[in-house]
Amino acid sequence: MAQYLPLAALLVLAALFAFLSFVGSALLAPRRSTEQKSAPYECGIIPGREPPQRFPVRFYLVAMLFIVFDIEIVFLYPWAMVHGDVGLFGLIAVLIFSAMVFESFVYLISKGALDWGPLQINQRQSEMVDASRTATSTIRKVGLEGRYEHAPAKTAAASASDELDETASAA
Amino acid sequence: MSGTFVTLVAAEIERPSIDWHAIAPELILLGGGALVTVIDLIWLERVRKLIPTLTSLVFLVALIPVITLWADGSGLPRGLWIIDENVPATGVWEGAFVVDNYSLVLKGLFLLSAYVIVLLSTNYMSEGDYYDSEYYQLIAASVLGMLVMSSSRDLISIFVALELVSIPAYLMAAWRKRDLKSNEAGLKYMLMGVFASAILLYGMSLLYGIAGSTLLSDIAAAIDIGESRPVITLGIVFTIIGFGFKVSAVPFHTWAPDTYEGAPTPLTAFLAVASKAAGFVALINVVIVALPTQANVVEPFIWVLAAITMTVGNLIALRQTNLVRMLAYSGVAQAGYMLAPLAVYDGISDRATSAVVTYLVIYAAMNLGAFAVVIIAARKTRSAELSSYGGMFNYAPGLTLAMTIFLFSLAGIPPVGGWWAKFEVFRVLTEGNRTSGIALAVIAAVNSVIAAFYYLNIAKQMWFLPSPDGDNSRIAIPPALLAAVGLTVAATIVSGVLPGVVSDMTDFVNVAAGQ
Amino acid sequence: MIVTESWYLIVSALLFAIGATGLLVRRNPLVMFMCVELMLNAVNISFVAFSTALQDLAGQTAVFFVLVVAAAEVVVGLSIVVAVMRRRPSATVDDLAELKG
Repeated sequence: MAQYLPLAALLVLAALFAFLSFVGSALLAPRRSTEQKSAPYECGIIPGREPPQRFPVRFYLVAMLFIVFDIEIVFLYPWAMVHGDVGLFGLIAVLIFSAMVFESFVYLISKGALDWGPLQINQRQSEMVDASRTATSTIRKVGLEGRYEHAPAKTAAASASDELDETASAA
Repeated sequence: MSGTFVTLVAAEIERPSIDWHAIAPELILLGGGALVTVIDLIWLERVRKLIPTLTSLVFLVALIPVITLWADGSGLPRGLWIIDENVPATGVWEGAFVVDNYSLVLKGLFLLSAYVIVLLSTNYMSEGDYYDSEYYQLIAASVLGMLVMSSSRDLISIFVALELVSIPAYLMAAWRKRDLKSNEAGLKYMLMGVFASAILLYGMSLLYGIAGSTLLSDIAAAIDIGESRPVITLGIVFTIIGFGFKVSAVPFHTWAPDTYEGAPTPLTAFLAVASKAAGFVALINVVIVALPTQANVVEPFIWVLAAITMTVGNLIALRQTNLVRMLAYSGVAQAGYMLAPLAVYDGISDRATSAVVTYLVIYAAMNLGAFAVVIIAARKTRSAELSSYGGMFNYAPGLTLAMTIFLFSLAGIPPVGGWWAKFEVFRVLTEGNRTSGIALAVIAAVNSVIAAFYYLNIAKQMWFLPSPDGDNSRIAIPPALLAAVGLTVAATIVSGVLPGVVSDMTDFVNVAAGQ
Repeated sequence: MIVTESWYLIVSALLFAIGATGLLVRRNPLVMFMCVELMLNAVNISFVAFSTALQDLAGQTAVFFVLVVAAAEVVVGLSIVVAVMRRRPSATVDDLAELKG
């Protein structure tokens, strides 16, 4: 059992550390709470209404995509440092890597993840919908009521039909 | 720091010649997965029905180089690079990427399991109105991670492979995104998985600090036999805890039942079989290759893990009423049996590896089969509760028979597969006549008896009890699911009746040094 | 006072402990994520410190991979959290009790 002694020591130390942190902060931190301090904004502005709880999910989406693509580029850095030495072999390796990253980018564009603005039509149609239909043919307007408070439903339907036209002509 | 970087890198760089044959399975899977994605993007709806077929084709094509590499056994082991074509292979390969018999068996196992999983998923996904083509692409990504894992002999590539296995699985666990249970399954799995990765990495960084290299063989060379420093113990224990989460060993199993129940059932099969096997492969690689000299630290720790894993898993499985949860806990218990050979690996590392891999292969066949039956039954009953299996013999005798075979196999009753897996484990445990091994064998034997209770209870339910709502209409089995059940039944029976087929493949020599 | 590698290792161990404690104590999924990031960054410090001490590149290479994998994990995690939040605003991990172990 002697070989696990350091593990036990570490566990004790970790527990001690957590315990001391709590006790320390309870003992040392001064607590002089005032009404101003506990207000949501300390700068003095009294909130007139509750902040909107729901941010459009696109904010999260763009942020998440940014993180991934931003960090992928880190692999180019070592190559950039030594690109002269690794020559053609390195270049091809980096090109393959870039192609893989680029494919995910194509995927995003194709799925409409980077389209900003009013709700686009979903690329995934149910199979009952004929892909060759045009703007003049039926467009399901069910469910649009209430979704577009600022824009009239007609505009949304029109933009959706534009999108449809593009999809049809691209295909 | 960047100055060091340049001088170290620029020392000598020459274009290595790549052994394309050796990495062909991985390349085919990578290229095939990317191709399926592009095909899906271009043709959208028109190919939607074809995506599962295409993905399973990719798996089968990737299996071809695995078979040719196996047939070309004289060239093994091979690495990623061809150092010098004129120098004959020495029979030992110490590198970050090793293709030997051991890794080839595992690659075959992963690809075939993935093929069966796609068969299981096809109807489930297309009938559920989920994003289905992405699901198959994620499975391909996860399987790619498993293939890389079985050849990885380096801390960094093991870590990257493990994450490549896990991250798509987090997403797929939350696939039914309008269902709170599935959300919860994904979130729990992800939080625990990420926590485990962090612990694992910390252990790895300590091992790297001790050895000065991330290569497993270098780590083995850097640590002397019996050398005991606190930091070595910490590094080893942290690393094993990290893998313990992945293979759902008690007490790191808490995510498993919730995730298994909430995730889509085909994915549950994937997690319970393939993902768990990948975790075991990583554990074997690290323990057998990097830590042959540290048995005094590794063995007792894994012994305790194995003992409580099988006991706790079985005891909780006894009182489950939901079949998926029961299979989840039985999977936890089975992980205990699989850990057991690693608790006595000192001096017999090849035999221990063979036992674990044999168990993994047979476990994959019988567990995938059991999940296939659960999926088929749920198509009619819309439930995985144990009581809903009552009377199944009356309306689905073939299915009942198949499930009975899987259950007997899981319980370890001859002549179907499971008994041979357990037999191998017991043989390794008792081989050295060591007290610890025999004690663990006794615990495993007691557990097998406990486990037989709940496995046979399911069989009793299906054969003898009436169906709960008196609905005895037949179940329509789609061809894909029928094929999955057929394949797994065949594999389970063959591995039990002719155990030589499996044991010939898993008879490894000198896993630690490549071959 | 000379700052040697062991100082960095101590910082790394402390960060790791803080992250692990936070993960176990806090119940907000987003905060739990931040704690995991803290743990991963502790690992990075440890890798770089060892790398400098050993004059070996592998440690720095590892950091690259850890960074990228951490980013991927966070993105996947955030998307799952967003999916949960849309179903159930202001959920904590304790609220997720549909499934009982």
